[in-house]
Amino acid sequence: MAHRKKNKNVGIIGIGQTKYSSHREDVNQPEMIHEAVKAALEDAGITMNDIDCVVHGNMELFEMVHQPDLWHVIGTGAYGKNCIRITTGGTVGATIACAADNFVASGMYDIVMAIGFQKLQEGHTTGGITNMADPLWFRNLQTGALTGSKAYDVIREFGEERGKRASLMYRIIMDKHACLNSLAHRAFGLEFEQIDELIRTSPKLVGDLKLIDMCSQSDGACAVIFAEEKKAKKISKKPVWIRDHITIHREETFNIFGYDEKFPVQTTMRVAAENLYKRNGIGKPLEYFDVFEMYDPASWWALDWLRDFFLLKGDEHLRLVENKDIMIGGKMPINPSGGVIASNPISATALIRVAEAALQIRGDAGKHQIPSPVRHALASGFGGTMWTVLMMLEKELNW
Amino acid sequence: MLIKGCLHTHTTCSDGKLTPQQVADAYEEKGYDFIAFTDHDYLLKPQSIELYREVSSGMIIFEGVELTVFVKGYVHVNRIHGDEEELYILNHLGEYDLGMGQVLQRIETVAEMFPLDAVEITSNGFRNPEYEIPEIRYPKIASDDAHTRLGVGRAWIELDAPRDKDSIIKRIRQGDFWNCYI
Repeated sequence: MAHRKKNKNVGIIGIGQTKYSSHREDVNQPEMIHEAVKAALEDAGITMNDIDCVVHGNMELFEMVHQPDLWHVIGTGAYGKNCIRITTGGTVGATIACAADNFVASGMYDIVMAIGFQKLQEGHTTGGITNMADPLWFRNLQTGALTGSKAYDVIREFGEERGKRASLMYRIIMDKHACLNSLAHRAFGLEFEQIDELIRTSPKLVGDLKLIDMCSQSDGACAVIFAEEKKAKKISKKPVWIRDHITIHREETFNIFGYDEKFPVQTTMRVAAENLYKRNGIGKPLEYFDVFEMYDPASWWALDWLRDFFLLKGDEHLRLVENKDIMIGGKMPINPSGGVIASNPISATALIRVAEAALQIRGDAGKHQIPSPVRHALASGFGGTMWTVLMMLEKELNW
Repeated sequence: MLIKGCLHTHTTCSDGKLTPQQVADAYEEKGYDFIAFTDHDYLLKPQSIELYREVSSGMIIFEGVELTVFVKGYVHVNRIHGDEEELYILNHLGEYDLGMGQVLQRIETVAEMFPLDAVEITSNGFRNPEYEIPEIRYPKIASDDAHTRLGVGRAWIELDAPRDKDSIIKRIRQGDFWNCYI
């Protein structure tokens, strides 16, 4: 939906998440989803009777189960309701948030629940990624998210020592945040003193992308309830308003390998950020936003993307990390939840970013709540063929 | 003496969710006689050995480490210390997403790198019966690979041995044990 053409304003009124873990063997898929749905309904103080539509999102080929939305109904509560399933890669969670927002904003439904889930231990993610790339695209795309290209780019621009140390600094900051989040999957208790040791000992995956840099695969689900303005205000004491969102997906996938310095391709992150800020009159995003829940599949990518998302120049993004400005309590806290590196139930992952950004605005994030007031939050999603989704969330409905 | 144990567990010294003491308590409550702490090498906290040694338990506690070994991709090898003996186990064959021929190749390659004593035929404590074949000539061992309380006690070995580390290692090396599952 085009910006400023919403028929109705939309607020987030309920948020539910499961515990994220490499193995949720204590629950099956519907049971796991039900945990998040139940939590979201309780958070909103409503029942499934109040939900008009369910937007269900997952990468079905990762669990290798056909039409999961149909047999998940017992967990989602969608029986007899309008329901739509969306699959857009790692971006799924953000796309279902956009769809839910658009459904409500259009006036089609009053209250919509978005549910993202993934139970990766039951499937074969690598197999799924490999097969979905073949035979339409080049074979060298088939590592999916496992690419060392960003590490290569950062090292080429800033040197090996600075690049590696900044990447590990980012990784350890995320770990420190994850240690404050009881739902996080990976929370190692890493210390900054371990940077050199981790650079030396962490197993290599691809090029300079190491195991410690990369997110894990997780099991988990997230549910977020969106309501139109009147109902949102009536139901929730502190609805979080969706101001705007943007989705950018372009042909850059086909240029990322065999990159040409003379003809650099502007990333979908920067295109999304530029367009979103421009149409909302935001000149200095680093000053405007109070927190950013960023889809960060690996510390190298996160490091690089900070520059694009905040429209920074030179090494400003590196300095944000090196000065620990991205920590809780810092100038621009990134992923107080621990981010994707800590927990990655793929199709829930980007919805978690929206959920966590909303929790920060509400002041309900618990131990990982940032100490200063949060009025403006940003959440991103990334995946598939270089899709980027960027969503703005606001405390006040005043734009 | 029939004793019960698990030789593959993780603690907060790497990516486990329980402290070494909590891991030991969880196993002791389930009637175990011995366990091995086998945290990941690359995530190992500097003070891990001290933390292992501070554990108070009626069980025999083996100190070990899960080595990350590059063999056309990464495989994991547990090195477990006895008093005099050392035990090497190639872990969770089922988690490498390899065909049987490739698994057999990996075993042989690892055996050239380490004095391999056994292979683990469980994935997070779940039995992988496809590896219970004579072509794998090493003793086949069941372990939990527990990272959480939920993972504790799914699979274990029982053996008739004196309660000392080296005797246990020697029995395992000889394949003189039983795999047990819940």
